[in-house]
Amino acid sequence: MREVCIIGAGIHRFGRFEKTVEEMGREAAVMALKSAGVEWKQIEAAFVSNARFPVAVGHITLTPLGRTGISIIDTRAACASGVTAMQQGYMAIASGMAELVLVLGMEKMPRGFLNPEGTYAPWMVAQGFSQNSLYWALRARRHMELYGTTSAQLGKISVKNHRNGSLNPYAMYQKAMTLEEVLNSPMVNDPLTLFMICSPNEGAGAVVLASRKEARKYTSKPVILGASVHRIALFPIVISPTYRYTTKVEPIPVTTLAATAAYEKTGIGPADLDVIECQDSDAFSEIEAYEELGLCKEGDGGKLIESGDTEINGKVAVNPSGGLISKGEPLGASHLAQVVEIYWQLKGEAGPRQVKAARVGLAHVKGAGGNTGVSILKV
Amino acid sequence: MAGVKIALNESLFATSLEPLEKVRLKGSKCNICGVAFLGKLVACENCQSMNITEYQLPRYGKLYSYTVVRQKPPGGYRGPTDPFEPFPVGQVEMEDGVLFLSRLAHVKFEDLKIGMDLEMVVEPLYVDEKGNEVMMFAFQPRGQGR
Repeated sequence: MREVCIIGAGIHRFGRFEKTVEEMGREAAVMALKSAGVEWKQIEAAFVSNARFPVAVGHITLTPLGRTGISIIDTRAACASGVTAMQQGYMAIASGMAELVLVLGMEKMPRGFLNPEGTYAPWMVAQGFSQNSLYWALRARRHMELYGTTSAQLGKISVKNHRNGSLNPYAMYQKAMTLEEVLNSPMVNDPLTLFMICSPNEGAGAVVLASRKEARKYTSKPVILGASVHRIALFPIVISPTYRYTTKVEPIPVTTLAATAAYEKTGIGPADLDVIECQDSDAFSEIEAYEELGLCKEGDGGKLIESGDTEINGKVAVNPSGGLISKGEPLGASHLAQVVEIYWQLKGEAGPRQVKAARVGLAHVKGAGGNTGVSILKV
Repeated sequence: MAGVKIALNESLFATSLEPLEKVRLKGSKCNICGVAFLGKLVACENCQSMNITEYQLPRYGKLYSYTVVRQKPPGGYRGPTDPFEPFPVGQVEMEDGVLFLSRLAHVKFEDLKIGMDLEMVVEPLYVDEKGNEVMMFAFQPRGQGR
Protein backbone atom coordinates (compact mmCIF):
# COMPACT_ATOMS: atom_id res chain seq x y z
CA MET A 1 0.00 0.00 0.00
CA ARG A 2 1.24 3.52 -0.81
CA GLU A 3 1.54 6.42 1.60
CA VAL A 4 -1.34 8.92 1.40
CA CYS A 5 -0.83 12.69 1.79
CA ILE A 6 -3.16 15.64 2.29
CA ILE A 7 -2.04 18.61 0.18
CA GLY A 8 -4.94 21.02 0.48
CA ALA A 9 -7.94 21.83 2.67
CA GLY A 10 -11.10 23.90 2.37
CA ILE A 11 -14.10 24.67 4.52
CA HIS A 12 -17.47 26.39 4.39
CA ARG A 13 -18.29 27.91 7.75
CA PHE A 14 -20.74 25.90 9.87
CA GLY A 15 -24.00 27.66 10.69
CA ARG A 16 -27.27 28.40 8.90
CA PHE A 17 -27.20 30.03 5.48
CA GLU A 18 -29.38 31.11 2.57
CA LYS A 19 -27.53 28.72 0.28
CA THR A 20 -28.01 25.26 -1.15
CA VAL A 21 -25.92 22.33 0.04
CA GLU A 22 -24.35 22.21 -3.44
CA GLU A 23 -23.20 25.84 -3.18
CA MET A 24 -21.62 25.27 0.23
CA GLY A 25 -19.98 22.03 -0.90
CA ARG A 26 -18.59 23.64 -4.02
CA GLU A 27 -17.10 26.54 -2.04
CA ALA A 28 -15.25 24.12 0.25
CA ALA A 29 -14.09 22.03 -2.72
CA VAL A 30 -12.77 25.06 -4.62
CA MET A 31 -10.98 26.33 -1.49
CA ALA A 32 -9.32 22.91 -1.04
CA LEU A 33 -8.24 22.76 -4.70
CA LYS A 34 -6.82 26.30 -4.52
CA SER A 35 -4.96 25.62 -1.31
CA ALA A 36 -3.43 22.51 -2.90
CA GLY A 37 -2.59 24.32 -6.13
CA VAL A 38 -4.46 21.64 -8.07
CA GLU A 39 -7.02 22.15 -10.83
CA TRP A 40 -10.34 20.30 -10.84
CA LYS A 41 -9.48 18.63 -14.14
CA GLN A 42 -6.52 16.88 -12.45
CA ILE A 43 -8.74 15.16 -9.86
CA GLU A 44 -9.19 11.50 -10.74
CA ALA A 45 -12.02 10.58 -8.34
CA ALA A 46 -14.19 12.32 -5.75
CA PHE A 47 -15.91 10.94 -2.65
CA VAL A 48 -18.70 13.05 -1.17
CA SER A 49 -20.23 12.40 2.25
CA ASN A 50 -23.69 13.58 3.23
CA ALA A 51 -26.37 11.99 5.36
CA ARG A 52 -29.68 13.70 4.71
CA PHE A 53 -30.10 13.84 0.94
CA PRO A 54 -32.24 11.28 -0.89
CA VAL A 55 -30.28 11.05 -4.15
CA ALA A 56 -26.63 11.32 -5.07
CA VAL A 57 -25.87 14.99 -4.53
CA GLY A 58 -22.10 14.75 -4.97
CA HIS A 59 -22.11 14.80 -8.76
CA ILE A 60 -24.69 17.61 -8.77
CA THR A 61 -22.32 19.62 -6.58
CA LEU A 62 -19.09 18.96 -8.46
CA THR A 63 -19.95 18.63 -12.17
CA PRO A 64 -20.59 22.41 -12.47
CA LEU A 65 -16.79 22.72 -11.96
CA GLY A 66 -16.49 20.80 -15.24
CA ARG A 67 -17.71 17.48 -16.57
CA THR A 68 -14.41 15.65 -16.45
CA GLY A 69 -15.88 12.16 -16.62
CA ILE A 70 -14.46 10.98 -13.28
CA SER A 71 -16.20 8.81 -10.72
CA ILE A 72 -18.02 10.88 -8.06
CA ILE A 73 -19.43 8.70 -5.30
CA ASP A 74 -21.70 9.66 -2.39
CA THR A 75 -21.10 7.94 0.95
CA ARG A 76 -23.17 8.06 4.12
CA ALA A 77 -23.03 6.67 7.64
CA ALA A 78 -25.03 9.02 9.88
CA CYS A 79 -22.74 11.25 12.03
CA ALA A 80 -19.74 9.26 10.78
CA SER A 81 -20.50 9.87 7.09
CA GLY A 82 -17.35 11.91 6.59
CA VAL A 83 -14.99 9.15 7.67
CA THR A 84 -16.48 6.79 5.08
CA ALA A 85 -15.59 9.27 2.31
CA MET A 86 -12.12 9.67 3.84
CA GLN A 87 -11.70 5.89 3.97
CA GLN A 88 -12.64 5.63 0.28
CA GLY A 89 -10.26 8.44 -0.66
CA TYR A 90 -7.49 6.83 1.35
CA MET A 91 -8.06 3.51 -0.41
CA ALA A 92 -8.06 5.14 -3.85
CA ILE A 93 -4.60 6.64 -3.28
CA ALA A 94 -3.12 3.79 -1.21
CA SER A 95 -4.16 1.18 -3.75
CA GLY A 96 -2.63 3.04 -6.67
CA MET A 97 -5.99 3.63 -8.35
CA ALA A 98 -5.43 7.40 -8.41
CA GLU A 99 -2.73 10.04 -7.78
CA LEU A 100 -5.10 12.87 -6.80
CA VAL A 101 -8.58 12.63 -5.28
CA LEU A 102 -11.00 15.06 -3.68
CA VAL A 103 -12.87 14.19 -0.48
CA LEU A 104 -15.80 16.46 0.30
CA GLY A 105 -18.30 16.41 3.16
CA MET A 106 -21.38 18.62 3.20
CA GLU A 107 -24.78 18.94 4.81
CA LYS A 108 -27.82 21.15 5.22
CA MET A 109 -30.29 20.20 7.90
CA PRO A 110 -33.01 21.88 9.96
CA ARG A 111 -32.55 23.04 13.56
CA GLY A 112 -33.72 21.00 16.53
CA PHE A 113 -33.84 17.26 17.12
CA LEU A 114 -33.12 15.15 14.02
CA ASN A 115 -36.11 13.77 12.14
CA PRO A 116 -36.46 10.27 13.65
CA GLU A 117 -38.43 8.70 10.77
CA GLY A 118 -36.41 5.98 9.11
CA THR A 119 -33.87 5.84 11.93
CA TYR A 120 -36.07 4.67 14.80
CA ALA A 121 -38.75 1.97 14.75
CA PRO A 122 -42.27 3.50 14.76
CA TRP A 123 -43.01 2.20 18.27
CA MET A 124 -39.91 3.98 19.57
CA VAL A 125 -40.95 7.24 17.89
CA ALA A 126 -44.48 6.90 19.32
CA GLN A 127 -43.03 6.59 22.84
CA GLY A 128 -40.60 9.47 22.40
CA PHE A 129 -37.43 7.35 22.45
CA SER A 130 -36.41 9.40 19.45
CA GLN A 131 -33.97 11.98 20.81
CA ASN A 132 -30.34 11.06 20.20
CA SER A 133 -29.43 12.97 23.36
CA LEU A 134 -31.49 10.52 25.43
CA TYR A 135 -28.93 7.79 24.78
CA TRP A 136 -25.97 10.06 25.60
CA ALA A 137 -27.76 10.96 28.84
CA LEU A 138 -28.26 7.31 29.82
CA ARG A 139 -24.54 6.70 29.37
CA ALA A 140 -23.67 9.90 31.22
CA ARG A 141 -25.87 9.06 34.22
CA ARG A 142 -24.37 5.58 34.50
CA HIS A 143 -20.85 7.03 34.30
CA MET A 144 -21.69 9.52 37.07
CA GLU A 145 -22.96 6.67 39.26
CA LEU A 146 -19.95 4.43 38.66
CA TYR A 147 -17.13 6.98 38.65
CA GLY A 148 -18.42 10.08 40.38
CA THR A 149 -18.36 12.21 37.25
CA THR A 150 -20.17 15.50 37.94
CA SER A 151 -22.42 17.94 36.09
CA ALA A 152 -19.74 20.58 36.62
CA GLN A 153 -17.23 18.40 34.77
CA LEU A 154 -19.70 18.04 31.90
CA GLY A 155 -20.17 21.80 31.94
CA LYS A 156 -16.42 22.38 31.77
CA ILE A 157 -16.26 20.53 28.44
CA SER A 158 -18.75 23.06 27.03
CA VAL A 159 -16.88 25.98 28.57
CA LYS A 160 -13.58 24.81 27.02
CA ASN A 161 -15.11 24.17 23.61
CA HIS A 162 -16.99 27.47 23.52
CA ARG A 163 -13.80 29.30 24.52
CA ASN A 164 -11.96 27.56 21.66
CA GLY A 165 -14.86 28.24 19.29
CA SER A 166 -14.61 31.96 20.03
CA LEU A 167 -11.21 31.78 18.25
CA ASN A 168 -12.54 29.99 15.17
CA PRO A 169 -14.05 32.12 12.38
CA TYR A 170 -15.63 28.98 10.86
CA ALA A 171 -17.63 28.03 14.01
CA MET A 172 -21.36 28.75 14.28
CA TYR A 173 -21.08 29.99 17.87
CA GLN A 174 -18.04 32.19 18.47
CA LYS A 175 -18.80 33.23 22.01
CA ALA A 176 -17.22 32.12 25.29
CA MET A 177 -19.62 30.91 27.99
CA THR A 178 -19.41 30.62 31.77
CA LEU A 179 -19.98 27.39 33.67
CA GLU A 180 -23.12 28.94 35.20
CA GLU A 181 -24.53 29.74 31.76
CA VAL A 182 -23.96 26.15 30.63
CA LEU A 183 -25.41 24.55 33.77
CA ASN A 184 -28.38 26.93 33.93
CA SER A 185 -29.41 26.52 30.29
CA PRO A 186 -32.64 24.50 29.80
CA MET A 187 -32.42 20.80 30.69
CA VAL A 188 -32.84 18.54 27.64
CA ASN A 189 -32.15 15.04 28.98
CA ASP A 190 -30.84 15.04 32.56
CA PRO A 191 -27.92 15.55 33.16
CA LEU A 192 -27.44 17.17 29.72
CA THR A 193 -28.42 20.82 29.31
CA LEU A 194 -28.98 22.66 26.04
CA PHE A 195 -25.52 24.25 26.01
CA MET A 196 -23.87 20.84 26.50
CA ILE A 197 -25.35 19.61 23.21
CA CYS A 198 -24.38 20.42 19.61
CA SER A 199 -26.83 21.86 17.08
CA PRO A 200 -27.55 20.20 13.76
CA ASN A 201 -26.73 22.79 11.09
CA GLU A 202 -25.06 23.38 7.71
CA GLY A 203 -21.59 23.55 6.25
CA ALA A 204 -18.91 21.72 4.31
CA GLY A 205 -15.27 20.65 4.43
CA ALA A 206 -12.92 19.23 1.80
CA VAL A 207 -9.39 17.91 1.38
CA VAL A 208 -7.23 16.97 -1.61
CA LEU A 209 -5.43 13.64 -1.18
CA ALA A 210 -2.34 12.68 -3.14
CA SER A 211 0.22 9.94 -3.36
CA ARG A 212 3.61 10.80 -1.84
CA LYS A 213 5.13 11.09 -5.32
CA GLU A 214 2.39 13.41 -6.57
CA ALA A 215 2.38 15.44 -3.34
CA ARG A 216 6.04 16.42 -3.84
CA LYS A 217 5.04 18.39 -6.93
CA TYR A 218 2.91 20.71 -4.82
CA THR A 219 4.52 20.91 -1.40
CA SER A 220 7.79 20.19 0.33
CA LYS A 221 5.90 19.57 3.59
CA PRO A 222 2.89 17.32 2.96
CA VAL A 223 0.72 16.16 5.83
CA ILE A 224 0.50 12.37 5.92
CA LEU A 225 -2.89 10.71 6.29
CA GLY A 226 -1.83 7.61 8.24
CA ALA A 227 -5.26 6.04 8.48
CA SER A 228 -8.96 6.62 7.98
CA VAL A 229 -10.97 3.83 9.53
CA HIS A 230 -14.75 3.35 9.67
CA ARG A 231 -16.32 0.78 12.01
CA ILE A 232 -19.79 -0.14 13.25
CA ALA A 233 -20.22 -1.03 16.90
CA LEU A 234 -20.19 -4.52 18.32
CA PHE A 235 -23.08 -5.59 20.57
CA PRO A 236 -23.97 -4.09 23.01
CA ILE A 237 -23.87 -0.32 22.49
CA VAL A 238 -26.14 2.29 24.07
CA ILE A 239 -26.70 4.74 21.22
CA SER A 240 -29.63 5.81 19.05
CA PRO A 241 -31.64 3.88 17.85
CA THR A 242 -30.87 0.78 19.95
CA TYR A 243 -33.16 -0.48 22.72
CA ARG A 244 -31.83 -3.88 23.76
CA TYR A 245 -28.58 -4.46 25.56
CA THR A 246 -27.07 -6.93 28.00
CA THR A 247 -25.00 -6.77 31.16
CA LYS A 248 -23.52 -10.21 30.41
CA VAL A 249 -21.07 -9.09 27.73
CA GLU A 250 -18.26 -6.65 28.52
CA PRO A 251 -18.66 -4.03 25.77
CA ILE A 252 -15.70 -3.11 23.57
CA PRO A 253 -16.41 0.55 22.83
CA VAL A 254 -16.62 1.20 19.10
CA THR A 255 -14.34 4.23 19.46
CA THR A 256 -11.69 1.90 20.91
CA LEU A 257 -12.32 -0.55 18.07
CA ALA A 258 -11.75 2.09 15.38
CA ALA A 259 -8.90 3.84 17.21
CA THR A 260 -7.04 0.57 17.83
CA ALA A 261 -7.21 -0.23 14.12
CA ALA A 262 -5.88 3.24 13.27
CA TYR A 263 -3.17 3.08 15.97
CA GLU A 264 -1.99 -0.33 14.70
CA LYS A 265 -1.91 0.87 11.11
CA THR A 266 0.15 3.97 11.92
CA GLY A 267 2.25 2.78 14.86
CA ILE A 268 0.97 5.85 16.70
CA GLY A 269 -0.46 5.54 20.20
CA PRO A 270 -2.59 7.86 22.33
CA ALA A 271 0.51 9.20 24.13
CA ASP A 272 1.89 10.44 20.78
CA LEU A 273 -1.11 12.68 20.01
CA ASP A 274 -0.67 16.46 20.18
CA VAL A 275 -4.13 17.46 18.98
CA ILE A 276 -7.53 15.75 18.73
CA GLU A 277 -10.87 16.69 17.24
CA CYS A 278 -13.46 14.32 18.75
CA GLN A 279 -17.20 13.74 18.62
CA ASP A 280 -18.51 16.14 21.27
CA SER A 281 -22.10 15.78 20.12
CA ASP A 282 -22.61 16.42 23.81
CA ALA A 283 -20.28 17.18 26.68
CA PHE A 284 -20.39 13.63 28.03
CA SER A 285 -19.38 12.14 24.69
CA GLU A 286 -16.09 14.06 24.87
CA ILE A 287 -15.39 12.69 28.38
CA GLU A 288 -16.16 9.22 27.07
CA ALA A 289 -13.90 9.75 24.03
CA TYR A 290 -10.98 10.65 26.35
CA GLU A 291 -11.28 7.21 27.88
CA GLU A 292 -12.08 5.22 24.76
CA LEU A 293 -9.31 6.80 22.69
CA GLY A 294 -6.90 5.88 25.51
CA LEU A 295 -6.00 9.35 26.81
CA CYS A 296 -6.85 8.21 30.34
CA LYS A 297 -8.21 5.10 31.99
CA GLU A 298 -11.90 4.21 32.15
CA GLY A 299 -13.69 6.44 34.64
CA ASP A 300 -11.04 9.19 34.66
CA GLY A 301 -12.47 11.34 31.84
CA GLY A 302 -14.07 13.78 34.29
CA LYS A 303 -10.75 14.29 36.07
CA LEU A 304 -8.97 14.82 32.74
CA ILE A 305 -11.13 17.85 31.80
CA GLU A 306 -10.52 19.30 35.26
CA SER A 307 -6.75 18.88 34.92
CA GLY A 308 -6.62 21.34 32.02
CA ASP A 309 -4.56 18.86 29.99
CA THR A 310 -7.02 18.98 27.08
CA GLU A 311 -6.91 22.76 26.69
CA ILE A 312 -5.19 24.29 23.63
CA ASN A 313 -2.01 24.79 25.70
CA GLY A 314 -2.40 21.47 27.56
CA LYS A 315 -0.72 18.10 27.10
CA VAL A 316 -3.07 17.11 24.28
CA ALA A 317 -5.44 19.74 22.90
CA VAL A 318 -8.95 18.36 22.36
CA ASN A 319 -11.33 20.20 20.05
CA PRO A 320 -9.25 23.35 19.53
CA SER A 321 -11.71 24.24 16.74
CA GLY A 322 -14.45 24.51 19.36
CA GLY A 323 -15.75 21.04 18.50
CA LEU A 324 -19.28 20.29 17.44
CA ILE A 325 -20.52 22.11 20.55
CA SER A 326 -19.32 25.41 19.01
CA LYS A 327 -19.36 24.59 15.34
CA GLY A 328 -22.62 22.66 15.21
CA GLU A 329 -22.92 19.28 13.52
CA PRO A 330 -23.76 19.06 9.82
CA LEU A 331 -23.59 15.26 9.74
CA GLY A 332 -21.90 14.71 6.38
CA ALA A 333 -19.45 17.59 6.87
CA SER A 334 -18.36 17.17 10.48
CA HIS A 335 -15.46 14.74 10.01
CA LEU A 336 -14.09 16.66 7.02
CA ALA A 337 -14.02 19.85 9.08
CA GLN A 338 -12.20 17.94 11.85
CA VAL A 339 -9.61 16.72 9.34
CA VAL A 340 -9.24 20.25 7.96
CA GLU A 341 -8.65 21.59 11.50
CA ILE A 342 -6.00 18.93 12.22
CA TYR A 343 -4.37 19.66 8.84
CA TRP A 344 -4.15 23.37 9.68
CA GLN A 345 -2.86 22.58 13.17
CA LEU A 346 -0.07 20.36 11.78
CA LYS A 347 0.81 23.01 9.18
CA GLY A 348 0.93 25.70 11.87
CA GLU A 349 -1.89 27.60 10.15
CA ALA A 350 -4.53 27.56 12.89
CA GLY A 351 -4.13 31.20 13.93
CA PRO A 352 -5.06 32.17 17.50
CA ARG A 353 -6.08 28.60 18.36
CA GLN A 354 -2.77 27.09 17.18
CA VAL A 355 -1.51 24.16 19.27
CA LYS A 356 2.25 24.59 19.80
CA ALA A 357 4.51 22.21 17.84
CA ALA A 358 1.63 19.94 16.81
CA ARG A 359 2.99 16.99 14.79
CA VAL A 360 0.43 14.21 15.29
CA GLY A 361 -3.35 14.58 15.31
CA LEU A 362 -6.47 12.46 15.40
CA ALA A 363 -10.06 13.10 14.25
CA HIS A 364 -12.94 11.03 15.64
CA VAL A 365 -16.64 10.80 14.81
CA LYS A 366 -19.38 8.59 16.22
CA GLY A 367 -23.09 8.38 15.58
CA ALA A 368 -26.32 6.48 15.05
CA GLY A 369 -26.13 2.71 15.14
CA GLY A 370 -22.55 2.92 16.35
CA ASN A 371 -21.16 4.25 13.06
CA THR A 372 -17.73 5.46 14.13
CA GLY A 373 -14.44 6.45 12.60
CA VAL A 374 -10.95 7.71 13.25
CA SER A 375 -8.46 9.47 10.98
CA ILE A 376 -4.82 9.97 12.01
CA LEU A 377 -2.67 12.72 10.48
CA LYS A 378 1.03 13.42 11.02
CA VAL A 379 3.90 15.51 9.69
CA MET B 1 -67.65 1.82 18.12
CA ALA B 2 -66.01 0.43 21.21
CA GLY B 3 -62.27 0.18 20.86
CA VAL B 4 -60.14 -2.74 21.97
CA LYS B 5 -56.71 -2.91 23.53
CA ILE B 6 -53.89 -3.38 21.04
CA ALA B 7 -50.14 -3.57 21.60
CA LEU B 8 -47.89 -0.78 20.34
CA ASN B 9 -45.43 -3.50 19.34
CA GLU B 10 -46.71 -7.10 19.50
CA SER B 11 -43.29 -8.66 18.98
CA LEU B 12 -42.18 -7.49 22.43
CA PHE B 13 -45.02 -9.35 24.23
CA ALA B 14 -45.15 -13.08 25.03
CA THR B 15 -48.82 -13.09 26.04
CA SER B 16 -52.11 -11.51 25.02
CA LEU B 17 -53.06 -8.21 26.67
CA GLU B 18 -55.86 -9.78 28.74
CA PRO B 19 -55.84 -10.01 31.67
CA LEU B 20 -53.45 -7.10 32.07
CA GLU B 21 -51.82 -8.38 35.24
CA LYS B 22 -50.79 -11.60 33.49
CA VAL B 23 -49.07 -9.87 30.58
CA ARG B 24 -45.40 -10.82 30.17
CA LEU B 25 -42.69 -9.57 27.84
CA LYS B 26 -41.01 -11.82 25.35
CA GLY B 27 -37.38 -12.75 25.83
CA SER B 28 -35.02 -14.51 23.43
CA LYS B 29 -32.05 -16.48 24.68
CA CYS B 30 -29.18 -17.57 22.50
CA ASN B 31 -28.47 -21.26 23.01
CA ILE B 32 -24.85 -20.83 21.92
CA CYS B 33 -23.47 -17.83 23.85
CA GLY B 34 -26.22 -17.64 26.46
CA VAL B 35 -26.99 -13.93 26.01
CA ALA B 36 -30.67 -13.08 26.51
CA PHE B 37 -32.55 -10.21 24.90
CA LEU B 38 -35.89 -8.43 24.99
CA GLY B 39 -38.17 -9.34 22.07
CA LYS B 40 -37.82 -11.44 18.96
CA LEU B 41 -34.53 -11.81 17.09
CA VAL B 42 -33.42 -12.78 13.60
CA ALA B 43 -30.06 -13.90 15.01
CA CYS B 44 -28.13 -13.41 18.22
CA GLU B 45 -26.75 -9.87 18.12
CA ASN B 46 -23.78 -11.02 20.17
CA CYS B 47 -22.61 -14.22 18.44
CA GLN B 48 -24.69 -14.35 15.23
CA SER B 49 -26.15 -17.77 16.01
CA MET B 50 -29.72 -18.48 14.87
CA ASN B 51 -30.16 -21.09 17.59
CA ILE B 52 -32.49 -19.08 19.83
CA THR B 53 -35.21 -20.00 22.31
CA GLU B 54 -38.05 -17.62 23.12
CA TYR B 55 -39.36 -17.40 26.68
CA GLN B 56 -41.34 -15.17 29.06
CA LEU B 57 -39.42 -12.51 30.92
CA PRO B 58 -40.16 -11.92 34.62
CA ARG B 59 -42.13 -8.86 35.73
CA TYR B 60 -39.31 -7.51 37.86
CA GLY B 61 -36.08 -5.72 37.21
CA LYS B 62 -33.69 -3.07 38.47
CA LEU B 63 -32.96 0.42 37.17
CA TYR B 64 -29.59 0.47 35.36
CA SER B 65 -29.60 4.09 34.17
CA TYR B 66 -32.17 6.80 33.51
CA THR B 67 -32.88 10.23 32.12
CA VAL B 68 -35.86 12.52 31.67
CA VAL B 69 -37.24 13.67 28.32
CA ARG B 70 -37.71 17.38 29.12
CA GLN B 71 -38.48 18.66 25.62
CA LYS B 72 -41.14 17.45 23.19
CA PRO B 73 -39.77 14.55 21.12
CA PRO B 74 -39.59 14.95 17.33
CA GLY B 75 -41.69 13.14 14.72
CA GLY B 76 -44.79 11.10 15.53
CA TYR B 77 -44.63 11.16 19.33
CA ARG B 78 -48.01 9.92 20.65
CA GLY B 79 -47.82 10.89 24.29
CA PRO B 80 -49.48 14.06 25.60
CA THR B 81 -48.33 17.17 23.72
CA ASP B 82 -50.93 19.78 24.63
CA PRO B 83 -49.25 20.55 26.89
CA PHE B 84 -46.23 18.27 26.62
CA GLU B 85 -45.43 16.50 29.87
CA PRO B 86 -41.79 15.59 30.59
CA PHE B 87 -41.38 11.88 31.27
CA PRO B 88 -38.61 9.61 32.59
CA VAL B 89 -37.00 6.84 30.57
CA GLY B 90 -34.64 4.20 31.87
CA GLN B 91 -32.78 1.02 31.18
CA VAL B 92 -34.23 -1.94 33.05
CA GLU B 93 -31.99 -4.87 33.97
CA MET B 94 -33.50 -8.32 34.52
CA GLU B 95 -32.14 -11.74 35.42
CA ASP B 96 -29.85 -13.25 32.75
CA GLY B 97 -28.48 -9.75 32.10
CA VAL B 98 -31.45 -8.76 29.92
CA LEU B 99 -31.26 -4.97 29.62
CA PHE B 100 -33.58 -2.70 27.65
CA LEU B 101 -35.12 0.72 27.29
CA SER B 102 -38.46 1.45 28.97
CA ARG B 103 -40.66 4.32 30.03
CA LEU B 104 -40.74 4.74 33.83
CA ALA B 105 -44.17 5.27 35.37
CA HIS B 106 -45.66 6.52 38.63
CA VAL B 107 -42.41 7.83 40.01
CA LYS B 108 -41.16 11.34 40.76
CA PHE B 109 -38.06 12.35 38.83
CA GLU B 110 -36.21 13.08 42.05
CA ASP B 111 -36.95 9.60 43.40
CA LEU B 112 -35.22 7.82 40.49
CA LYS B 113 -32.13 5.96 41.62
CA ILE B 114 -29.86 3.52 39.83
CA GLY B 115 -30.37 0.07 41.33
CA MET B 116 -33.96 0.65 42.50
CA ASP B 117 -36.37 -2.31 42.20
CA LEU B 118 -38.94 -2.04 39.43
CA GLU B 119 -42.00 -3.94 38.26
CA MET B 120 -43.75 -3.95 34.91
CA VAL B 121 -47.11 -2.36 34.26
CA VAL B 122 -49.00 -2.27 30.97
CA GLU B 123 -50.80 0.97 30.31
CA PRO B 124 -52.43 2.85 27.44
CA LEU B 125 -50.06 5.20 25.63
CA TYR B 126 -52.77 6.77 23.45
CA VAL B 127 -56.10 6.09 21.74
CA ASP B 128 -55.81 5.59 17.98
CA GLU B 129 -58.10 6.85 15.20
CA LYS B 130 -60.33 3.75 15.50
CA GLY B 131 -60.80 4.22 19.23
CA ASN B 132 -58.39 1.40 20.16
CA GLU B 133 -56.34 1.78 23.28
CA VAL B 134 -52.71 1.38 22.23
CA MET B 135 -50.97 -0.37 25.10
CA MET B 136 -47.30 -0.44 26.04
CA PHE B 137 -45.23 -1.63 28.95
CA ALA B 138 -43.59 0.68 31.45
CA PHE B 139 -41.80 0.05 34.75
CA GLN B 140 -42.72 1.53 38.14
CA PRO B 141 -41.12 1.26 41.58
CA ARG B 142 -41.74 -2.26 42.89
CA GLY B 143 -44.50 -2.78 45.41
CA GLN B 144 -46.48 0.32 44.54
CA GLY B 145 -49.62 -1.83 44.37
CA ARG B 146 -51.19 -0.44 41.22
